[in-house]
Amino acid sequence: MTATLQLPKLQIHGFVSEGGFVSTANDYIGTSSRGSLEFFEGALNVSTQVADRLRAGIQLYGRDVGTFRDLPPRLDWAYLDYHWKEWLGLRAGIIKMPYGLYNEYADIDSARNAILMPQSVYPLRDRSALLAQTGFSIYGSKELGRSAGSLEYQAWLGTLNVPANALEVTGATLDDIDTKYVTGAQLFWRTPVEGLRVGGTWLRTSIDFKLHLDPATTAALIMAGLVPADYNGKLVISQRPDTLWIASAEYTRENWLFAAEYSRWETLQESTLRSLLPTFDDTSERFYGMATHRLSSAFELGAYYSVLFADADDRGGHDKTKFAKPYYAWQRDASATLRYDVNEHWLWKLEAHFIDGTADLFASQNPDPKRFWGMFLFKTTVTF
Amino acid sequence: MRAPRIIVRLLALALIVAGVANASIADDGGFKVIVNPDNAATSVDRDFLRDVYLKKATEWSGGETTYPIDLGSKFPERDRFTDQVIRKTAAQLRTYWNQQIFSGKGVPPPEADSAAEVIEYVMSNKGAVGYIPADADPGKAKVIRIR
Repeated sequence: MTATLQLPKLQIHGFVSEGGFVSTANDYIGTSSRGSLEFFEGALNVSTQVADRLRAGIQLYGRDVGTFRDLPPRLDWAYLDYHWKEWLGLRAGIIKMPYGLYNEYADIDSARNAILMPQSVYPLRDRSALLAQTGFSIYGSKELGRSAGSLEYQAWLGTLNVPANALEVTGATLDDIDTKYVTGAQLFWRTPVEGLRVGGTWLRTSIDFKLHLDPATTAALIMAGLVPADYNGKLVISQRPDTLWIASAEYTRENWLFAAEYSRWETLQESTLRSLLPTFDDTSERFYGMATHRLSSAFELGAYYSVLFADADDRGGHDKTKFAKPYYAWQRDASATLRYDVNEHWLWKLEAHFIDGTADLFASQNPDPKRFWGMFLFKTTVTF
Repeated sequence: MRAPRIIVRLLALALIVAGVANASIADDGGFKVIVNPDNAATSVDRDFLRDVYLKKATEWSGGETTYPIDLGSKFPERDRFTDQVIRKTAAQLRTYWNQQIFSGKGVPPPEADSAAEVIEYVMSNKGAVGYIPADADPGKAKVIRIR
């Protein structure tokens, strides 16, 4: 046996990305209206085969993507994986969370065509909260026979690792984020039609955000009579539960890939200050259709159309108590991407977005957003 | 009485077609699949073999852990195996392994620089499976049919 054939004791892999983006109006991701080169991502992982069917690994991930910063890098995933049988494996630790076709792979630039995945379903703003959970998961696959395809499934239970910068807060300081639990299940059917898989994911979580209001905000609320005179400024916002589900379909044939997903996010939010933040129950609607085509070993084209409705019961934004202007209620995004693979390890991408609506913008960064706007991005990634 | 005869002929035709299809993988593919002589298998299901190479299947029917090995990317048989058994393009397979590597789910099989290295690996691991060019001498490794 030659040494080169043995799997190394440690496998080390990583990637580094840098890029830029600019928008014709509105600030999206970061200060896009001025143009930004704050578009860095990097990851480094180490894994090893500890024993027969038992693996362990750890990955650090950092990013400086406009508004979203994970620097210094933080633990992205770190877990034990015991793949006992084809139909049953167990993972324990910080585990990437399945959601739809691509959530586990959402920040792996080399594993997709688009620079920005369809933001209705895979929003950058929620990446830190939804990408991984700390706990356990079971997984497996089961052949149903040559004429019936196979099933692939996962189920998990744990807590979310929500960083403090995952929540946009003004006039208050975030003291603690308490994830009660996150649980979910995913089932995919790899159909007898070669390249076609369909499935669904269901996910539920409960989170408490504990804040204290700034003295000026607290004083203003007391003056306005919205809170008692002895109010100490403490506030708990509870999302219990958030329920997310998604139906997915993907078809690959030769150099083509087609994908479509439909999702709803149901949020029940309560607070300890009901006079200020009354209980509300919202359901957002999210879907997209995407196609990619590899033209050659170097070039690949892709396009998608992604739609987000902030309130599935008010797609037109008619309720002025929720939406100051109707187009605050939706975001429709038509995107096109050209990917160029210099070699197996190095790639470049160019991407254009034509967007109608502003539902996915941060209100604090866009006090008077424009309805129609465009965004252009480039990115280069080296993977090793 | 004619109907059963037609059915028998159709079944025979289907078997011939199936045989031709199997032969097309084994012969026209330009590669042959080899396992350790201690492996009881004489043939392997194509979907199972694909799952072994994607690290979704972990054991042979006898319970032995599977250890797949690839030929290096310079071999044309690698592309043919990827196309005919794994049924992905080279770019799709690269995407798949990037997804696995950076989500922590797994790493690709080791790569060999020659058919001799594949044979050596297969002979050294009871659960190993590899493929070599059709004109390569498998030595003491056992050639199995894809069905």
